[in-house]
Amino acid sequence: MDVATDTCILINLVVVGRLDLLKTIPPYVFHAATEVLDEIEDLDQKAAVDQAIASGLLSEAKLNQPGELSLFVNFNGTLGKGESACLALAKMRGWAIATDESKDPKWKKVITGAGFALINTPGILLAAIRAGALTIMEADEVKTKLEQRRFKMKFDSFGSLV
Amino acid sequence: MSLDANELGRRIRRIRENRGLTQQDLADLLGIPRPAVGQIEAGNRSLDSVELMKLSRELGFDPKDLFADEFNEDQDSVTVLFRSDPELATNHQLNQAIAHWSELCRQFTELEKLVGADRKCVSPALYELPPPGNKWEAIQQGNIIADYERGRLKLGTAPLPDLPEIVEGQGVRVGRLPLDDCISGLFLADDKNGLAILVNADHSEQRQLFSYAHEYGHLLFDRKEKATISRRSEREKLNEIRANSFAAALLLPEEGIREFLMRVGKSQDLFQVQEIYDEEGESVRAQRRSAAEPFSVQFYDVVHLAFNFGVSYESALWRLKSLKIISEEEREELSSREDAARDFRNLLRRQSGHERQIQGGNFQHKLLMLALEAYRLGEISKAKLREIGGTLEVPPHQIDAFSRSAEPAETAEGPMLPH
Repeated sequence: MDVATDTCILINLVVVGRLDLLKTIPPYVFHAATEVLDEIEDLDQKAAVDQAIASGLLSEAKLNQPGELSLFVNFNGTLGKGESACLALAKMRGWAIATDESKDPKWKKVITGAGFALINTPGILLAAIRAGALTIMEADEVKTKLEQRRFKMKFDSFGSLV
Repeated sequence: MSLDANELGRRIRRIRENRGLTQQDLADLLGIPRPAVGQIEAGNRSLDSVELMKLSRELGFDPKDLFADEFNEDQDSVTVLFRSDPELATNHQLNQAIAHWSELCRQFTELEKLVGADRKCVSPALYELPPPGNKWEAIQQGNIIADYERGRLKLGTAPLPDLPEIVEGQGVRVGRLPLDDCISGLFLADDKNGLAILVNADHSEQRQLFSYAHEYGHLLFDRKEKATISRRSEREKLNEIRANSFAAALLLPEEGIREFLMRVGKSQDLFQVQEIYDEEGESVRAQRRSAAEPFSVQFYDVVHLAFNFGVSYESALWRLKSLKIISEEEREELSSREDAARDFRNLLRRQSGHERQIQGGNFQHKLLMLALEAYRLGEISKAKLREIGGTLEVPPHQIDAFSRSAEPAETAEGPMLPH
C-alpha cells in the first residue's frame, strides 16, 4: 500500500533517528511530495530525509497530472502546500496518508471526513514491532523521546498494544 | 470538466502571451530549457506542482483559474493591466510587485469569505459619469465628485491624514510597495482581488497621500476598466486629469482652504463685514477695511497649509491657483521659493515633533489578523496560516506563538493503522 507522508511524520522519525522504519513495515511504501520535503526547515533534518530518499527508504512524489494539480490548488485555498499535496496524491492515486497533526482542527476535519486510510507515528512503531523490526523496549524509548518533544501518546507502553 | 494536458498547455500559453512574455522569458522564470516550455504548452510535457505555483506567484494569477470550467482571463484585473500597459512585460521588478500585491489581495478575499467578513463589507460608490470630453470637463467632474464624496462620507472640511483608513472603511484594500519612480500607484478591481489600491512606497508621505486619493478617484470613476497604472507620462490623459483633480479637491477642499486662510488673516475679502441680527427685526452692520495688501499669500502660508493638510508644497500651490486664490504669476513666484519652503516645513516638523503621518494602510496587519481568525474558526490549517505568514514575512515561530492560544488543549495520540 502506497502512503503519502506529511512533514510531521518525517520530522518525528528524524529526531528519533529511525527513518529506517519506513522500509521495514510492508505492505506500506512511503512517498513524500516535493512540497512536504520543502517544508522541512532544519538543515540537518533535511539532510537526513534526503539521505533516506537516496537510500530508497522513501521516494519523492511529484504532482504532475492535471487532475492532481487541480485538486492540489483547490486544497491549497485552506491547507498548506504539503498537506494539499498529500491529499491530492491520496485522492488521485488511492494512497493512504501518514500524518501526526491531529491537533489542527481543519486538517483533522479534512482527513477524517474524506475516508482516507490513515497511519501515524505510533501506528508505524506498532507495525514495526509486529514486523519484528523493533522491540517493545525500543519502541517505548522512541515514545519517551517523542514525548519529551511534546508529542504525547495515550498509552503507557507499546506492550499494552501488542 | 476534467482538464487534459493539451488544454492546460493552451491556457498557460494564453497567460504567457497576455503578459507579453516569450517562451524564453517563461523558461528563465522556471529555470527550465526553452524547448521544455514549448512542450508544456503543446501538452507534451507535464507541469509539476512546484513549477505551477512558481508561475502563479511570479505572474500574479490564481492557479485555480487554470482549472476552472471556463477559462476567462478577461475577468482578471492583472491580465487587464498587462494588456493595457505593454511596458510591464519588460519590467521584472514591477511585475513581481504587482504579482505579490495581487496574491495578498486574493488571499484577503478568500479569508474574508471563510470567516464571513465579506458579508459585512461595504463598497465605495461608483460614479458612472459620461467620459470627459476635454480637460475642463475632467477637472470639473473631479472637483464635483470630491465635494460629493466629502459630503457622503461626512468628512467636513478638515485635513485627511487618515485617508487610507477612510478608503479601507469603504472595503478597499490599501497598500504600499516600492514601485518605479515614474509610477505613483495603481488599482485593481475584480471579484478575486476585490477593490485594491497600491501606492509607491518610495515616494514621500505627502505624495503617497495624494496617490491614495488619486487611485481612490479611479475606483470611483474608472472601476469598470478593472485596472490601471498611474504613470507620470500619462498625466495628460483625461481620466488621469480627472483623478488628479479629484485628489486635489478631496485633500484640499475649497472651503477648508478658505477657512484656513481666514484663520491666518489671509481672507480674500478686502472689506470685512459683520452683521448682527436682533429680535427687533433689524441688523446692525459693522464694516472694517483691511490693512494694505492683506491677501498676499506668502510661501510660509502655503507651507503651513500644505503641512496642515498633509500634501506637498507644489500641490498646495496648484490647488490655490486652481481656486483662483493666487494667480499664475504668484504660483510661479512662490514655486521659485521651494528651498525656503522646504526649510520652513522642516521647522514646522521640528516644532510639532513630527510630520503629519499618514494613518491606516496597514493592509498586511489586517491580512494577518484575518488569517489568525480563520485558523481560530477552523477554516484554515496551521500550515496554511504559516504559509500566509510567509507571504507577509512573518517567521514561522512567531506564527506558531500567535496561533497557540487558538489551539485546543494538548492531545495525545493512539496508534492509527489502515485496516
